[in-house]
Amino acid sequence: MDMKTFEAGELRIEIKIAAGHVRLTWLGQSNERDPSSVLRPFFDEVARLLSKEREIELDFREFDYMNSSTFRPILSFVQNASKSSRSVNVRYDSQKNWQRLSFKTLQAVAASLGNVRVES
Amino acid sequence: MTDIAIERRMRLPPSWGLIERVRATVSEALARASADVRDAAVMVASELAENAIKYGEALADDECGYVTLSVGPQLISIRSLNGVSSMERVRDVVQRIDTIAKAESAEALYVARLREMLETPSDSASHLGLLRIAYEGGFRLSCAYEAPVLTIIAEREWT
Repeated sequence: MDMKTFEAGELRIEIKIAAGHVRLTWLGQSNERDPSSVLRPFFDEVARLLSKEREIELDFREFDYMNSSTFRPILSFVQNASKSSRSVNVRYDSQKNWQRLSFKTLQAVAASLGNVRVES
Repeated sequence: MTDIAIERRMRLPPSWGLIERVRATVSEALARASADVRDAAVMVASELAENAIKYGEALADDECGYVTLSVGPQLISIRSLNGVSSMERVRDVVQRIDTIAKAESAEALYVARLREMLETPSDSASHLGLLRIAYEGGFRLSCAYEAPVLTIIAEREWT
């Protein structure tokens, strides 16, 4: 298993890479003025790791906060990853009110993406 | 907590680093509130401050805006004030807030916006900030414009 870390400001994403699995563990906060400019190059790199033999997990359970501008690049990544990976699994903490409400809406639209699961 | 009256006024020079200070000020002011109320208020102040810094124009005192927090026995009120000279921008904000205020479900609007984002991946804007204030924060939104100052008001009861 390979491990890397992406850091930008107060945001840290731990990347674990295994044969059939990539896991992104989100930590800290995403509060940049333009999160897309920070996250898109990172997501482009992660996209190279994906294939129909690999699933990807985005784990937000330890994540403290993100501004609303962060949702756009995450949603785009989930949308693209649903096409290029075996499955996309989004994990959140239902005990955190903001996560429960934010990811409930992602859950509502994930059905249209086919192989995306959003669960606490 | 509800017997306390709190007022905080936070000046916003056009510096993104001030957002964290806004978040810390609101969090500290509401230290005795429940975590859900405090987190919601911090999010609302943060989103309003971000909008003011992103889109606000200089006021007479060269600041690009203010965020104020008022806490009363029943109500938490968070306001942003910033300069806007573009009537197109003012109309856009007024229309967004009017749509949210009249909606039966802020959640449904939020989900609809996510669906739009999925259908238009080339559109880089999220336009989720005001929706999030209403849906996730449970705050009622209203606004007023007295040229050149745009005031956005977010209010909610304690419970």
